[in-house]
Amino acid sequence: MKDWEAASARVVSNKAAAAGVFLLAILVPGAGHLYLRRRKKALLLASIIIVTFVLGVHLQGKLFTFEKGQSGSETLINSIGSLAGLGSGILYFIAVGFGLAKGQIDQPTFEIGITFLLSAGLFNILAAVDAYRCSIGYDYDAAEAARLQAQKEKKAKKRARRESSRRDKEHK
Amino acid sequence: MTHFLCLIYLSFAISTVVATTATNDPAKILKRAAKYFGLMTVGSIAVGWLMFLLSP
Repeated sequence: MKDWEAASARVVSNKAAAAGVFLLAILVPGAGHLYLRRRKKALLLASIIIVTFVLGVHLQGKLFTFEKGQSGSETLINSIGSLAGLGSGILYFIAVGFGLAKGQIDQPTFEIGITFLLSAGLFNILAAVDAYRCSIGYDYDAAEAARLQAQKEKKAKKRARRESSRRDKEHK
Repeated sequence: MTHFLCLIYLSFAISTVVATTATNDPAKILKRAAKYFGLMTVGSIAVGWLMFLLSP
């Protein structure tokens, strides 16, 4: 299996540094991978996250902020939306600071805009988790092989159990 | 039309990000992204069409 940027990539020495990479990746989209010298991955992820966020603002979407709603459920939705939006890191603070994504509910693309803004935040969280994994030298192929092996063993156990219960029934 | 294009773009974005963050192998990234994109696009168009047919 081929690693995209194995020659240039670096890993960090301890968990604290890996947590730092995670924070960096959350704060600035693509920065975590860039620090780990995975330029192609950084460019790909950052461009998708930024384009999705900008499209969300352009489509008159609304960024949620931590504010108390009229009801408990509204407050809960605001909090969950804010957490997802905060995933965009610096983009979220720029948009909120400049009052860019206040949302216009009368626009037909309002809800799509919200979807794009929330998606951008969630993408960046996913990218930050990946940056953390890359920073500790996580072996994707070994993990996948182990998962497939575990699945195979589970299926075999299930089959054996079914077989033995069928045999028991035949004996009775 | 805007909604349709947004749906296609979002399918592309989701499939690319999910595939890219799951492995470091470019061949696998491409293969998975294409698979997820196809599944999502076809699935969402099918569900949208079904809802259109079932709407009063």
